[in-house]
Amino acid sequence: MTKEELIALATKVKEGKATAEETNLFFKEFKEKIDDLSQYLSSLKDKKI
Amino acid sequence: MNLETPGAGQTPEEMGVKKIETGLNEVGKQLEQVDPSKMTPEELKVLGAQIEVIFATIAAYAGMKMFEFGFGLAGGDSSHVTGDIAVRLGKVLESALGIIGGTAVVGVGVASFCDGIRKLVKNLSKIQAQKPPTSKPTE
Repeated sequence: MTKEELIALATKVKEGKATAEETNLFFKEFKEKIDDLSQYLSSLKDKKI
Repeated sequence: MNLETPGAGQTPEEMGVKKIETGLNEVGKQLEQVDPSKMTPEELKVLGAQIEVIFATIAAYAGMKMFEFGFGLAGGDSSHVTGDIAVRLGKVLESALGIIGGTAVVGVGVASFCDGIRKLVKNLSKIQAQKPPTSKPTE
């Protein structure tokens, strides 16, 4: 899911217009983006303070 | 699977928010450990892009515009995030600073995430402080 699609879905959930399925999809996709960042940060082993 | 049947008395949204907060909390701790002075411009760019997606999503979910809060990190100002280094993260940092004002809207996970961003900004400003002044480009 692209950034724009994720933002659009987030807005839909916020506005209460999302179905339960869309709500679940939003949180799943958002969590994946967070996991991506977490994995990237983990890969920066020699870039720590 | 019936997606409309929440578990443990929670709605799907409440359960989703909890998962996101937990994830953000962990990432926030990781961000605090990153030393941007050891990162290449390309690595900063990748990191910035990933942070941007998360901030933009939080902003949308919280019903906030990315830039409506303006600058204001713990009473600070924007001057320490201008310059060559910060430009690499550009609007990502601007978004980060802006959205901190709305952390209470979503929850503690976001606050932790913002703490990580705040630390990153602080470290970026240290790098900038170490850089010699650059002359203005001539045309």
